[in-house]
Amino acid sequence: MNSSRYLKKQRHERAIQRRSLKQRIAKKRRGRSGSFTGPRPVQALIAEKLPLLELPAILNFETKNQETRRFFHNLDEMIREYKHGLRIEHSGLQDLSPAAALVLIAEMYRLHQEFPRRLKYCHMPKDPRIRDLLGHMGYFKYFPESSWSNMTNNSSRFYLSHRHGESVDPEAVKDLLIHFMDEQKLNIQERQALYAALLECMQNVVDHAYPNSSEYHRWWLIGCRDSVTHEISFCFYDQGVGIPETIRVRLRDKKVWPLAPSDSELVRTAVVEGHYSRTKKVTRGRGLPTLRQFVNSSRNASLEIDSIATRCTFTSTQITNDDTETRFRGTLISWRLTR
Amino acid sequence: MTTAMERRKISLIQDFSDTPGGRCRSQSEFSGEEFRDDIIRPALRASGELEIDLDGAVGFPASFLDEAFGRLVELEGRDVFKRVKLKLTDNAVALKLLKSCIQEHGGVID
Repeated sequence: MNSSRYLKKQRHERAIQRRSLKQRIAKKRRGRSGSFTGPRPVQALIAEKLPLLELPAILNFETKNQETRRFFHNLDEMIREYKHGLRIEHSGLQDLSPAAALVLIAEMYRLHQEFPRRLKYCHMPKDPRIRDLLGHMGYFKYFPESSWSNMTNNSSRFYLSHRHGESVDPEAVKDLLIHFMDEQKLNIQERQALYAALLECMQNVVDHAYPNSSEYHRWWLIGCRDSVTHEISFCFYDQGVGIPETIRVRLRDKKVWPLAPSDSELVRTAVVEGHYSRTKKVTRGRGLPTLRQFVNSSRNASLEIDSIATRCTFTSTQITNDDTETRFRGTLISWRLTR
Repeated sequence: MTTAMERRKISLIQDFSDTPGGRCRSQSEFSGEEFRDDIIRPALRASGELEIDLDGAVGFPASFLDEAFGRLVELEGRDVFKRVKLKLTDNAVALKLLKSCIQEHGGVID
């Protein structure tokens, strides 16, 4: 009786083991095994089926503004359209400016936040300089399966990993000033002015750039320094309604309607005079004019602003502006200084 | 009987932060609102007179100065800066801005 019960128990245990083994094999075939390391075959197969987004050879707002704007416009549409994911091919990239890299980072962040379950695959850039630029800026953290590792920096350019936030972040700006210290001997007044101007830009994003309260009020910041040219630069980006629209809303509030100024006229006045503030208080609208004062103080400095349908460039000798049909999401401020 | 009012001293960088932030507490770390409501006003209530040392900060965003000192005028009265003495010797631009903020809110400052 006992032996019969013992045999029955053994048969039952063997059946459980067989069932468990079958389940493990089936799970492995589906590519969901926790113990499996390296690229998962089924996911790799899915990745091959995903729509391919090929990055163009040049992404640079300074040299190929229209093409770069058009690319980001298409990327925005692709992010909305493809429900299952995207395969992003970086290998064709030959020229990537830090400003364009920052916008790319912001788009990947948005994709990551708005569609966390959506798959993303990344084919690494072939050019090691571009790979390092994106890597040091923290781009590949949005692609957990990417293989970039922070080894050594053979370039003369040093990047501060991107920062982003929904509030005013004094520590981010302090870190940027520390990053600049090795290359530029900014005096104490200049450091104070730069700190105040950047925090004002952040405050403007929080207060005005996203009038729709359901959206996230986010900004992105990167810094760069060059140990050969001693250039320091930063790019500051938000995906809000843009400077021209913000000003138009303020003018509408005040019931002041100058003769329909163009986007570039509005940006230009905001930078040169800084007086499109609703309240006309001395404490408002100071960020951009302060950034421009640096540009006026050096021959090798510039301030570039891409906002919605305009691009304005300020140097110590001239101001150029260009209204364009290719609309850009938000406002990108690129500032650089060499002495 | 007379009581001598003691003037209390506050140092921005020691009692608050060397990196003043933006306008409101909900929008920023080390905001003007936080400095005003958590540091200045309680100290003012406790001692009656204050000396605030603002030297040593990395910089001052205009929104911080406006919220901390401009709004202080609205909350404590236009003569509040007869009781609160400000010391800012290392940032001439911020000092000028600070005085403008106070005057814009109707305050009186020397």
